[in-house]
Amino acid sequence: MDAGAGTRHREALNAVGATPSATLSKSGRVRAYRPPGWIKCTLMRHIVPELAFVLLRTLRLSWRIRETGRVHYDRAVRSGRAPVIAFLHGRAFMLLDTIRDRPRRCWFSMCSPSLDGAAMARLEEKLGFNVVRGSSGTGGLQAIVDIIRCVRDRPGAGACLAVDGSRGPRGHVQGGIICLAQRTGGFVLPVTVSASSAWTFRKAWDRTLIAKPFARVEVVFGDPLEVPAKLKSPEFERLRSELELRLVALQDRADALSGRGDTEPVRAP
Amino acid sequence: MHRPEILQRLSRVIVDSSTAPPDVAGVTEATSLESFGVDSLILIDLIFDIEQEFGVKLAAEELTAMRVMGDLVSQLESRLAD
Repeated sequence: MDAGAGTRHREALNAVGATPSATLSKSGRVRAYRPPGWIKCTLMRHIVPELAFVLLRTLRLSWRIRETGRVHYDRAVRSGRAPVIAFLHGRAFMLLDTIRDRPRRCWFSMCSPSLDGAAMARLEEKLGFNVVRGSSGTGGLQAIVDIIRCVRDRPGAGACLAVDGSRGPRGHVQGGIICLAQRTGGFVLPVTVSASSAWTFRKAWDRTLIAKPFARVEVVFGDPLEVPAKLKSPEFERLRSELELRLVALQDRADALSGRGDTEPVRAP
Repeated sequence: MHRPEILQRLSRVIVDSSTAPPDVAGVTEATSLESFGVDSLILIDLIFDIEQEFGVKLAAEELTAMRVMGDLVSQLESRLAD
């Protein structure tokens, strides 16, 4: 949702005197916020992550994984700097295990404080990540500060982030990743993945992709984006949009390599 | 460390980090933090620059709750005294 739409959304709710936690449905009806019940909480915090973990590990055994541009990663790691890896939300599920497989032992990632984020955080912890909770909307600033401190305090540690916000728009890179790179390794390594056959969650804002069993999976690493320690606003924005363009181009390339045609390919906003 | 010294060092740090730097000599305890044009990304710079200058780790929420330089000076004064 863009800033203008967000304001109109809130104005519409204020006009009918809705509570601050109310939401507006697509048909324009005001829905009161209802906190998730214990069943949903239990499912999302305990059952879903366990199932997702088993699913991911089982699927991964059958995937034929091919890596392109791996040299960028190896070179970056050999440089002795802390790697900061960036990818888009929709491809995070398939990429996590690939990133964890790298020869680094300690990875930090960030998950939103929402219930969906709790499920993802638990899954990432099971995969061996250290998860910091926060999103562009809630607690994101502190989460970025915490990740920077963790990466700096642990030699050999790295960070990986889904960069298009906790709620999109899809493909829009948030600035936190640039801050993170500025204060840690000084570069961002974009990476993406695609598959010859996959399930796409079309109703999800990020169009999450999960490769089907025995699919050919293409992991593509891009050129590292160098990030100087000191940046003024225009340069910061230039790097942020450069990363955005690189990720979109990388995803197009991965889709082309895997022979997958997306009906709604991601585009830089 | 005394308040005037904290204010002087803090002014230098903030002016270096911010987008619209006012004159360092003109910064007083009553100067609003908003006047430095500090947004959320500059705030992260500020947290780490303060950490480097004073050795004090501030939380993002602490910093966003502060309105004027005096608030920040008081916070640093009490943390440095600990």
